[in-house]
Amino acid sequence: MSLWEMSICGGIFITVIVLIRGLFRKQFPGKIFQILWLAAVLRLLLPVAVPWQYSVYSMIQRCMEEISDCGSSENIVQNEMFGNAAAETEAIEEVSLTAESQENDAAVAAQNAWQDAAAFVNKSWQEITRMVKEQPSPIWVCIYLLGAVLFTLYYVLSYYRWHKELQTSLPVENPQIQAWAEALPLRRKVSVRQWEGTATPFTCGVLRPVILLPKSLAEEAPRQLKFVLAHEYMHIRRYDAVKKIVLLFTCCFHWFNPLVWVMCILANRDMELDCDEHVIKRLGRDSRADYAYALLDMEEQRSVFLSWGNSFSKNAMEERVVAIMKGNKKSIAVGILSGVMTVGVIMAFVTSAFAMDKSQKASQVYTDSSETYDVKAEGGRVYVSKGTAGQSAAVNEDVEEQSVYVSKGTAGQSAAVNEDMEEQSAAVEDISSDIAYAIESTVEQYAGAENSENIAYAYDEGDASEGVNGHLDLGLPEEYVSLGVTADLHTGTWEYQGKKVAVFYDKDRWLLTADVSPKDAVYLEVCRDKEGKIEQIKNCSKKEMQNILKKKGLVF
Amino acid sequence: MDVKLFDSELKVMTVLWKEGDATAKHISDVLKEEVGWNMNTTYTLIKRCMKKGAIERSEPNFMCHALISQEEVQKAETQELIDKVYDGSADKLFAALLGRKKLSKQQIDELRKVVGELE
Repeated sequence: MSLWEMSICGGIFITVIVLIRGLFRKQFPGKIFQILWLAAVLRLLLPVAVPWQYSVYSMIQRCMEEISDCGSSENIVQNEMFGNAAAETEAIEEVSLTAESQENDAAVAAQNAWQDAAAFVNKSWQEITRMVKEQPSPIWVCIYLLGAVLFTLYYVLSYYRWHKELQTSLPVENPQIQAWAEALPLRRKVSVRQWEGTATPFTCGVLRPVILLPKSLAEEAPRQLKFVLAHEYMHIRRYDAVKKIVLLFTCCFHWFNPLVWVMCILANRDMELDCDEHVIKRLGRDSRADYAYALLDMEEQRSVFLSWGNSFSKNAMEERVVAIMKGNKKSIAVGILSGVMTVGVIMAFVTSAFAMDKSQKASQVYTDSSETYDVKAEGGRVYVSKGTAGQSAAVNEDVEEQSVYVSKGTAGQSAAVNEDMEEQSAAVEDISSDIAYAIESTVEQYAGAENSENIAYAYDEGDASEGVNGHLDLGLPEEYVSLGVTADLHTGTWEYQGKKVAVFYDKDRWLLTADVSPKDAVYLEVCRDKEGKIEQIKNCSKKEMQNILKKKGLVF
Repeated sequence: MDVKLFDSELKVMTVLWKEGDATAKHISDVLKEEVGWNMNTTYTLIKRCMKKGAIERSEPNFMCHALISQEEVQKAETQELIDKVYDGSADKLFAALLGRKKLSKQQIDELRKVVGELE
């Protein structure tokens, strides 16, 4: 994944978290949001993502393909109409729709609008995909690097400055506080110091945490002290300093993404809220009001020297105060519900789009073909027939039947192989990955070509002839039909000279393998001249076909 | 003479007032023991005192001499330090981003009311 992709996916995830936060901030335990933010940070920083079939990105991709298919199939229908091709194609709704629409202008307009919309969505999706995948120009890389370096430098320098200033803090002389610090049940040694430079208490340091108190608090030790120390102790125990550093680093890394800054602000707030929640749990619910007042007292100390507030910081403070006062015990049901939701959201948004979806789709289309021989098959030129109903990609070689089928299901690259006993099982893994690779590479070769081009080509030629048996098979390119290849609408099998096609191989254009009875099966290779015109369809033996495909890295 | 010193700077002066003239090294040793400062911190503070005209330094061995007495010194307002630290601070941007801006007295009173109502 490129930085750009990480940033976009991360941004989407952040938006989702912000929505959840807006809806359920009060209901869900604070821990949930800590987990969600952590997941967002991981999504932003880790360049890898586990592909998952039910990832949101898989769904979007599928959706987009549906739209693009829809657009192109309707185009075909349109072409047919205006290209004066045979309009007798049965069972295609769109056609009848178009036929009717000749009388009905409104319907035409509606359909055109729908087509335009589909085309627009499809086009913008392709544009976005292209932009994301594209290598950025060196200028942008330079600007990015400059920004990242400046932000990092800025924070490192300001950290250095503060660190130096904090060094001049003095130890707290109040023996009560010292005793409290020593009694903390932590492995790390916590020191409490006082520093004139601050009006509010805070903690810094990870391995040797230091709580810094404003002078007044340390010397007078008023009633707020108990709450202040409890709060800071919670920060230390929960390693909030580390979280803050990681958040800042993420911001420097994704400095161009405003959503990441939003995350930084909200995650910091949530850290405080979660911390408050635990303090209340520790000190008891009776002390809620005292705790809230103590917070406000501290805030007042700050306001002594710079008394200009904005509504933003007031909102943040109000959020805290109200959360402290209203925060009720979370029921187990809510806990479980929020947990399940969190896991679901993380799974859906942190995973990436399922790879090799194209070949997968091809097989799905093929599966559908037993019922309806759908136009969609036109788009994916790689044709992988599905043999068994297995979900994982299974390569099943059966020597007796002398047929091969490759089925591609959900499991993507992982492929299960079933082979005849005669074959070495050691080769199995290789075969499956070879096929997976071959399918993928073939798909890639075609990915660049527009579906519509292909279709147009097929139909331009097909204008004159309606196919051998007077029937236009939408799933079969006209080129092949004119040479005598037919397709059975119901079973999806291709036929040639009265025999069923076991393997149909057109270099770089089409690969079909089918599970047919070996007795009348043919293995066909399409030979083309330099301009890409078909010279002949060669009928070869199984052995020859095996050799041909082996050379291309395909095994069967 | 009007010299305003912060707590940390006063700490350095206290050593000089108590022990008389001392080398920077000695002050550092004493303060390391007493408040846990490292050498650099002490030297930074000595330099700040020199700038304010509270300490005079002479060779050899960075011998330090207090120019003002304990009675003469005035405690600087905490306010000044905070302004200094906050003002030139690059942290301002971040503070603003995190909503660390201070609330006004009025806003705080409003929030107190909120607590009172919820109680």
